Amino acid sequence: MSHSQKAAEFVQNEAKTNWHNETLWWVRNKRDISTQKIPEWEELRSLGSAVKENVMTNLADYLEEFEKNATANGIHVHWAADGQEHNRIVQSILEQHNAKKVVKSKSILTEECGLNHHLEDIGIEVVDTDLGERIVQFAKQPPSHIVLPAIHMKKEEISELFHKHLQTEEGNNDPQYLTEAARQHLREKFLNADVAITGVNFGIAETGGFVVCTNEGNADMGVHLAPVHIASMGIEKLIPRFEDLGIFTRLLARSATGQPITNYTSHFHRPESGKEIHVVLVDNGRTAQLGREKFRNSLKCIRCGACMNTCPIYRRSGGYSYNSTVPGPIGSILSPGFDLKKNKSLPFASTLCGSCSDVCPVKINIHEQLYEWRQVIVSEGLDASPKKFAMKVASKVLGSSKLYFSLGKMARKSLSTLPNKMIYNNLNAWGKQRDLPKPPKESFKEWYKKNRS
Amino acid sequence: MSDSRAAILSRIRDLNLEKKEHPVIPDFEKNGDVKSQFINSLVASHVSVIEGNLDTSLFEQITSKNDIIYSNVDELSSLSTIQKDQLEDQLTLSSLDHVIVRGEIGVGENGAIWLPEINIEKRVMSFITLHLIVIVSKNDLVHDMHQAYSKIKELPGFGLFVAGPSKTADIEQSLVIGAHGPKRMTVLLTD
Repeated sequence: MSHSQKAAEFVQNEAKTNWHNETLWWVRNKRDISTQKIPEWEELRSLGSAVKENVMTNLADYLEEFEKNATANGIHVHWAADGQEHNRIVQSILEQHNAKKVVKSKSILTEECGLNHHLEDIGIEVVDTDLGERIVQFAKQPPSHIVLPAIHMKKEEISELFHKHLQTEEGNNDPQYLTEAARQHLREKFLNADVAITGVNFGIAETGGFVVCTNEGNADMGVHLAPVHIASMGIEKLIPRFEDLGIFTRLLARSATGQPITNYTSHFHRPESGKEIHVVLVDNGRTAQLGREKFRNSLKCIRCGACMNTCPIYRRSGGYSYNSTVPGPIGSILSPGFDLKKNKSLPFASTLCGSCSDVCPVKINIHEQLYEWRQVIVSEGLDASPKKFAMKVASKVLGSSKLYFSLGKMARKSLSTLPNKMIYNNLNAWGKQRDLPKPPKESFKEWYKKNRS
Repeated sequence: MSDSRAAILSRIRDLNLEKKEHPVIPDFEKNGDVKSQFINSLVASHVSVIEGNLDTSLFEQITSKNDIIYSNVDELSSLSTIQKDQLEDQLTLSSLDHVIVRGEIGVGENGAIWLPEINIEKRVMSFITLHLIVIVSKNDLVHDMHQAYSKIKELPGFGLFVAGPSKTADIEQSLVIGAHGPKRMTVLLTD
């Protein structure tokens, strides 16, 4: 299904759509207030972007440097060309430790690789430990937002899920009560886990370590209790130097939720004695995107979600309408690189207003890339056929002044006399949710002839 | 596995991208009183702040009689109700009421406090306790994260910037303190 079809489903519930829209706009406002407290904010964005530019253009060297230093620190480094290989590597580490129970903290990359399904198929219990992710896992859904995974759900729905899975009181919708229930439930999972899996916010080439940011502390609860820590990391997550963290820790949380920093910013360099740390470096389409000059910048993304919170389309269509692991504006420029045919409607799910580019902490030109993808999609003939037909007609009509004027005359007459059924039908996609403007009595040319000539 | 390593690296190198320089991070202007910034940031993140000295009587006010306490601060070791080796037991860890540790650096702009591994004994300790108490000296405050990172000279196996009690807003964006980790955090700011 295309984005617009899925979005049409989402907006069926008007009250919920409005709530979704307003809540995300509130998060966007918090971001504004928080960033305005830093006088050098714009300079920080430029620095963040320039550091990532340096990473992208020296990626092979930095990857080797990271591997060398991490290995010297006692971290096991693995390389995965795609999602399947990533999953196989994780599976083999689990098998080596005879692990059956896994706790996982938020990792968009493992979603992208479909790790949970892979592990569940071989009989491993995988528990997502971020509260929002646990909620959507109970609901058998993927996250609908990369920072706020359950933002599409109301507390009544969550209460119902918890009643079913955690035996909480029926109809008790108090977030405090529900969070406490999840805390008790997940505490037991943390204490009994064989392996903990996390994502990576920043991998540091210079020191061979990595940083994981959370507010709940779930990543740390998992990895410090389990004997084995597996960190899945996209190869674009590297930063060259330890000092670069000064830039990115200032940019990330302010852009994401408006907090001045995440509660927990954890720096891993060596395993705790008697334990193991594994890092899996994953390509899965990233080197291909690196090779696309116009879209290379999308790899700078630090996954803050600011572009989703500000996007007028995302706010009113919900994360699921994008049908891709990373939804919203950034997802709409990343996903076509993975599968152009499947994601061909995404670059059109935008007004090209540019708000996403304005809030992006690493200055990705998101709206320009959306426009570029549209051109790729049209030139490969993948655009939707009603639009194709309309464009063909328009190019004929606009190419001939004779045809343009006579059709204009006809339209002005017929639009005011024809019955609505003839005007609002499947050929008129624009008129599905809108009224056409009232046709004027005469064209500007006719008016000019009468009054000025 | 090594096949993929070689493949990924050669795919990148074959692109032959024009190399861009790493930028120089400028020395941003620091304004205002760092102590009040630090306190304001902590309070905004739901942290209680006490100014005072390392006096065990201070802790009577913030702990209760039968609480389980572990202090990793030498001057306050008399407050510990359990021994270091008991931290190896997960159930004891999970029943910790208060953990007292020393922070190395406090950051004015966001209230973050640097806890290197050596200050926290066991990595999980500052996450699993109900109440985290951090001692920070006023002399160790800096304005921003750039200054903080430049002060970290020796990289610990694990190090943490902590900026408040564990929290979540995953249910309808309603803030709840105490998601998985501490439900309370107190900072003792010493001279």
